[in-house]
Amino acid sequence: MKIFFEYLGLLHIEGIKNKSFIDVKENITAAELMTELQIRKEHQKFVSVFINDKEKSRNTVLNENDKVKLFLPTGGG
Amino acid sequence: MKKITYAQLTARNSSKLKSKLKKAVVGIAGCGGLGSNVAIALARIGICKLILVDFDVVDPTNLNRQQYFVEDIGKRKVDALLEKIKLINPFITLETHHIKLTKKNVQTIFKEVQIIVEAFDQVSEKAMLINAFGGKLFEEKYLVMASGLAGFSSSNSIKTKKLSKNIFVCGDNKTDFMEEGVMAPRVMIAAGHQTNKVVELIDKIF
Repeated sequence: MKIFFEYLGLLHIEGIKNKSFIDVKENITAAELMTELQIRKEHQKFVSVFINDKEKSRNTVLNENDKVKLFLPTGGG
Repeated sequence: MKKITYAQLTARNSSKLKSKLKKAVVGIAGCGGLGSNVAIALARIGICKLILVDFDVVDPTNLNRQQYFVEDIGKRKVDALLEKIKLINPFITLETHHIKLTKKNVQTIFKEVQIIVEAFDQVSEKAMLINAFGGKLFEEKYLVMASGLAGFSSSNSIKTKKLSKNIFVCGDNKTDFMEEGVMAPRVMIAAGHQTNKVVELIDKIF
Protein backbone atom coordinates (compact mmCIF):
# COMPACT_ATOMS: atom_id res chain seq x y z
CA MET A 1 0.00 0.00 0.00
CA LYS A 2 1.05 3.63 -0.36
CA ILE A 3 1.47 6.25 2.34
CA PHE A 4 2.54 9.88 2.06
CA PHE A 5 5.80 10.16 3.98
CA GLU A 6 7.63 13.14 5.43
CA TYR A 7 10.58 13.35 7.81
CA LEU A 8 11.97 16.31 9.76
CA GLY A 9 14.79 17.23 12.07
CA LEU A 10 17.87 15.07 12.46
CA LEU A 11 16.51 12.20 10.40
CA HIS A 12 18.39 11.42 7.19
CA ILE A 13 16.82 8.57 5.29
CA GLU A 14 18.81 7.23 2.36
CA GLY A 15 16.98 6.61 -0.90
CA ILE A 16 13.64 8.09 0.16
CA LYS A 17 12.51 11.40 -1.26
CA ASN A 18 11.12 13.57 1.51
CA LYS A 19 7.41 14.44 1.20
CA SER A 20 6.57 11.69 -1.28
CA PHE A 21 4.37 8.60 -1.59
CA ILE A 22 6.18 5.41 -0.63
CA ASP A 23 5.18 1.74 -0.76
CA VAL A 24 4.93 -0.07 2.57
CA LYS A 25 3.68 -3.47 3.74
CA GLU A 26 0.01 -3.90 4.70
CA ASN A 27 -0.66 -3.56 8.47
CA ILE A 28 2.78 -2.12 9.19
CA THR A 29 3.12 -0.07 12.38
CA ALA A 30 4.98 3.22 12.65
CA ALA A 31 7.65 1.47 14.75
CA GLU A 32 8.10 -1.22 12.10
CA LEU A 33 8.30 1.48 9.43
CA MET A 34 11.18 3.12 11.34
CA THR A 35 13.05 -0.20 11.39
CA GLU A 36 12.33 -0.79 7.68
CA LEU A 37 13.75 2.67 6.95
CA GLN A 38 16.87 1.74 8.95
CA ILE A 39 16.44 4.52 11.50
CA ARG A 40 18.95 3.72 14.21
CA LYS A 41 17.48 2.15 17.37
CA GLU A 42 19.04 4.82 19.59
CA HIS A 43 17.24 7.48 17.52
CA GLN A 44 13.91 5.66 17.28
CA LYS A 45 13.05 6.23 20.93
CA PHE A 46 13.22 10.02 20.40
CA VAL A 47 11.23 10.08 17.16
CA SER A 48 7.67 11.46 17.32
CA VAL A 49 5.06 10.04 14.99
CA PHE A 50 2.34 12.13 13.38
CA ILE A 51 -0.36 10.45 11.34
CA ASN A 52 -2.83 12.60 9.45
CA ASP A 53 -1.71 15.65 11.48
CA LYS A 54 -2.21 13.98 14.88
CA GLU A 55 0.52 12.82 17.25
CA LYS A 56 0.21 9.04 17.54
CA SER A 57 1.82 6.11 19.33
CA ARG A 58 4.56 4.33 17.40
CA ASN A 59 2.49 1.15 17.67
CA THR A 60 -0.24 2.63 15.47
CA VAL A 61 -0.99 0.54 12.38
CA LEU A 62 -0.75 2.56 9.18
CA ASN A 63 -3.49 2.66 6.56
CA GLU A 64 -3.50 3.28 2.82
CA ASN A 65 -2.95 6.97 1.98
CA ASP A 66 -2.10 7.97 5.56
CA LYS A 67 0.03 11.09 5.85
CA VAL A 68 2.92 9.93 8.05
CA LYS A 69 5.42 12.36 9.49
CA LEU A 70 8.46 11.36 11.59
CA PHE A 71 10.19 14.04 13.64
CA LEU A 72 13.51 13.82 15.49
CA PRO A 73 14.30 17.22 17.05
CA THR A 74 17.82 18.60 17.05
CA GLY A 75 19.46 19.64 20.32
CA GLY A 76 20.13 23.12 21.66
CA GLY A 77 18.23 25.75 23.52
CA MET B 1 10.87 51.81 42.25
CA LYS B 2 9.02 53.98 39.75
CA LYS B 3 5.37 53.11 39.23
CA ILE B 4 3.72 52.42 35.89
CA THR B 5 0.26 51.26 34.87
CA TYR B 6 -0.65 48.13 32.90
CA ALA B 7 -2.12 50.44 30.25
CA GLN B 8 1.27 52.18 29.87
CA LEU B 9 3.13 48.87 29.62
CA THR B 10 0.87 47.64 26.82
CA ALA B 11 0.24 50.98 25.08
CA ARG B 12 2.26 50.07 21.99
CA ASN B 13 0.82 46.55 21.62
CA SER B 14 -1.36 45.63 18.68
CA SER B 15 -4.90 46.77 19.45
CA LYS B 16 -6.14 43.35 18.24
CA LEU B 17 -4.75 41.76 21.39
CA LYS B 18 -6.42 44.16 23.84
CA SER B 19 -7.46 42.14 26.88
CA LYS B 20 -6.46 38.75 25.48
CA LEU B 21 -3.01 38.78 27.07
CA LYS B 22 -4.63 39.24 30.47
CA LYS B 23 -6.28 35.84 30.16
CA ALA B 24 -3.33 33.83 28.88
CA VAL B 25 -1.26 31.43 30.98
CA VAL B 26 1.87 30.07 29.29
CA GLY B 27 4.22 27.35 30.53
CA ILE B 28 7.95 27.68 29.88
CA ALA B 29 9.64 24.26 29.85
CA GLY B 30 13.30 25.16 30.43
CA CYS B 31 14.64 28.62 31.28
CA GLY B 32 17.85 28.59 29.24
CA GLY B 33 18.55 30.33 25.94
CA LEU B 34 15.11 29.84 24.46
CA GLY B 35 13.03 29.90 27.64
CA SER B 36 14.57 33.01 29.22
CA ASN B 37 14.19 34.98 25.96
CA VAL B 38 10.60 33.83 25.37
CA ALA B 39 9.58 34.52 28.98
CA ILE B 40 11.01 38.05 28.93
CA ALA B 41 9.40 38.86 25.57
CA LEU B 42 6.00 37.64 26.78
CA ALA B 43 6.39 39.57 30.03
CA ARG B 44 7.21 42.75 28.09
CA ILE B 45 3.96 42.62 26.16
CA GLY B 46 1.90 42.13 29.32
CA ILE B 47 1.05 38.46 29.57
CA CYS B 48 -1.09 37.54 32.60
CA LYS B 49 0.78 34.55 33.97
CA LEU B 50 3.87 32.44 33.27
CA ILE B 51 4.78 29.10 34.80
CA LEU B 52 8.58 28.80 34.71
CA VAL B 53 10.17 25.37 35.06
CA ASP B 54 13.91 24.61 35.19
CA PHE B 55 16.08 22.36 37.38
CA ASP B 56 19.36 24.18 36.70
CA VAL B 57 21.40 27.07 38.13
CA VAL B 58 23.03 29.90 36.18
CA ASP B 59 26.52 29.04 34.91
CA PRO B 60 29.11 31.35 33.28
CA THR B 61 28.72 29.45 29.98
CA ASN B 62 25.03 30.46 29.86
CA LEU B 63 25.77 34.17 29.48
CA ASN B 64 26.46 34.00 25.71
CA ARG B 65 22.75 33.50 24.98
CA GLN B 66 20.61 33.47 28.10
CA GLN B 67 19.02 36.48 29.79
CA TYR B 68 21.16 36.35 32.94
CA PHE B 69 23.91 38.55 34.37
CA VAL B 70 27.27 37.76 35.99
CA GLU B 71 25.68 38.49 39.38
CA ASP B 72 23.18 35.66 38.73
CA ILE B 73 25.83 32.92 38.55
CA GLY B 74 24.96 30.19 41.01
CA LYS B 75 21.32 31.27 41.38
CA ARG B 76 18.50 28.99 40.36
CA LYS B 77 17.49 30.01 36.83
CA VAL B 78 13.83 30.25 37.78
CA ASP B 79 14.67 32.64 40.64
CA ALA B 80 16.99 34.83 38.54
CA LEU B 81 14.44 34.99 35.72
CA LEU B 82 11.65 35.90 38.13
CA GLU B 83 13.75 38.84 39.39
CA LYS B 84 14.37 40.10 35.83
CA ILE B 85 10.74 39.76 34.77
CA LYS B 86 9.43 41.61 37.82
CA LEU B 87 11.70 44.55 36.92
CA ILE B 88 10.03 44.73 33.50
CA ASN B 89 6.41 43.82 34.27
CA PRO B 90 5.21 44.28 37.84
CA PHE B 91 1.69 43.10 36.94
CA ILE B 92 2.54 39.56 35.92
CA THR B 93 1.86 36.48 38.04
CA LEU B 94 4.80 34.07 38.07
CA GLU B 95 4.84 30.50 39.31
CA THR B 96 8.25 28.85 39.47
CA HIS B 97 9.28 25.20 39.76
CA HIS B 98 12.92 24.29 40.40
CA ILE B 99 12.45 20.74 39.18
CA LYS B 100 13.20 18.47 36.22
CA LEU B 101 10.12 18.08 34.04
CA THR B 102 9.21 14.47 33.44
CA LYS B 103 6.28 12.67 31.89
CA LYS B 104 5.06 12.06 35.45
CA ASN B 105 4.88 15.71 36.55
CA VAL B 106 4.36 17.69 33.32
CA GLN B 107 0.59 17.33 33.26
CA THR B 108 0.20 18.55 36.86
CA ILE B 109 2.66 21.43 36.57
CA PHE B 110 1.14 22.70 33.31
CA LYS B 111 -2.50 21.90 34.16
CA GLU B 112 -3.53 25.55 34.02
CA VAL B 113 -1.73 26.62 30.85
CA GLN B 114 -3.17 26.97 27.38
CA ILE B 115 0.24 26.94 25.67
CA ILE B 116 3.55 25.22 26.52
CA VAL B 117 6.86 26.53 25.17
CA GLU B 118 9.40 23.72 24.78
CA ALA B 119 12.76 25.31 25.53
CA PHE B 120 14.96 22.36 26.45
CA ASP B 121 18.56 21.66 25.41
CA GLN B 122 18.41 17.91 25.09
CA VAL B 123 16.76 15.87 22.35
CA SER B 124 15.54 13.33 24.93
CA GLU B 125 13.67 16.06 26.87
CA LYS B 126 12.15 17.53 23.70
CA ALA B 127 10.91 14.08 22.69
CA MET B 128 9.58 13.42 26.20
CA LEU B 129 7.38 16.49 26.05
CA ILE B 130 5.73 15.48 22.77
CA ASN B 131 5.48 11.80 23.56
CA ALA B 132 4.54 12.00 27.25
CA PHE B 133 0.89 11.19 26.79
CA GLY B 134 0.67 9.78 23.31
CA GLY B 135 -0.57 13.17 22.16
CA LYS B 136 -3.33 13.43 24.79
CA LEU B 137 -1.69 16.38 26.57
CA PHE B 138 -2.00 18.37 23.39
CA GLU B 139 -5.59 17.65 22.53
CA GLU B 140 -6.52 20.76 24.49
CA LYS B 141 -3.22 22.61 24.83
CA TYR B 142 -0.75 23.92 22.28
CA LEU B 143 2.97 23.09 22.20
CA VAL B 144 5.49 25.45 20.58
CA MET B 145 8.84 23.69 20.19
CA ALA B 146 12.29 24.57 18.86
CA SER B 147 14.60 22.44 16.72
CA GLY B 148 17.67 23.78 14.88
CA LEU B 149 19.10 27.04 16.18
CA ALA B 150 22.80 26.27 16.50
CA GLY B 151 25.75 27.91 14.77
CA PHE B 152 25.60 31.10 12.73
CA SER B 153 24.25 30.08 9.33
CA SER B 154 21.50 32.05 7.59
CA SER B 155 18.91 33.67 9.83
CA ASN B 156 16.33 33.07 7.12
CA SER B 157 16.59 29.30 7.42
CA ILE B 158 14.77 29.51 10.76
CA LYS B 159 11.05 28.95 10.15
CA THR B 160 7.91 28.17 12.11
CA LYS B 161 6.35 24.92 10.94
CA LYS B 162 3.13 23.17 11.91
CA LEU B 163 3.73 19.58 13.03
CA SER B 164 0.12 18.79 13.92
CA LYS B 165 -3.08 20.60 14.84
CA ASN B 166 -1.67 21.68 18.20
CA ILE B 167 2.12 21.36 17.83
CA PHE B 168 4.47 23.82 16.12
CA VAL B 169 8.24 23.76 15.72
CA CYS B 170 10.55 26.75 15.21
CA GLY B 171 14.07 26.46 13.82
CA ASP B 172 15.99 25.21 10.80
CA ASN B 173 15.49 21.56 11.84
CA LYS B 174 19.11 20.84 10.89
CA THR B 175 21.74 22.44 13.08
CA ASP B 176 22.65 20.73 16.34
CA PHE B 177 24.45 22.35 19.28
CA MET B 178 26.88 19.46 19.73
CA GLU B 179 28.38 20.16 16.30
CA GLU B 180 27.99 23.91 15.77
CA GLY B 181 27.80 25.53 19.19
CA VAL B 182 24.95 27.70 20.32
CA MET B 183 24.98 31.51 20.50
CA ALA B 184 22.66 34.43 21.20
CA PRO B 185 21.80 35.54 17.63
CA ARG B 186 20.17 32.37 16.28
CA VAL B 187 18.83 31.33 19.70
CA MET B 188 17.09 34.71 19.96
CA ILE B 189 15.71 34.40 16.41
CA ALA B 190 14.24 30.99 17.25
CA ALA B 191 12.93 32.32 20.57
CA GLY B 192 11.36 35.22 18.66
CA HIS B 193 9.62 32.74 16.37
CA GLN B 194 8.35 30.81 19.37
CA THR B 195 7.12 33.96 21.12
CA ASN B 196 5.33 35.22 18.03
CA LYS B 197 3.61 31.85 17.54
CA VAL B 198 2.48 32.05 21.18
CA VAL B 199 1.00 35.50 20.54
CA GLU B 200 -0.75 34.26 17.39
CA LEU B 201 -2.23 31.39 19.41
CA ILE B 202 -3.36 33.70 22.21
CA ASP B 203 -5.16 35.80 19.61
CA LYS B 204 -6.78 32.63 18.24
CA ILE B 205 -7.71 31.06 21.62
CA PHE B 206 -9.35 34.08 23.30
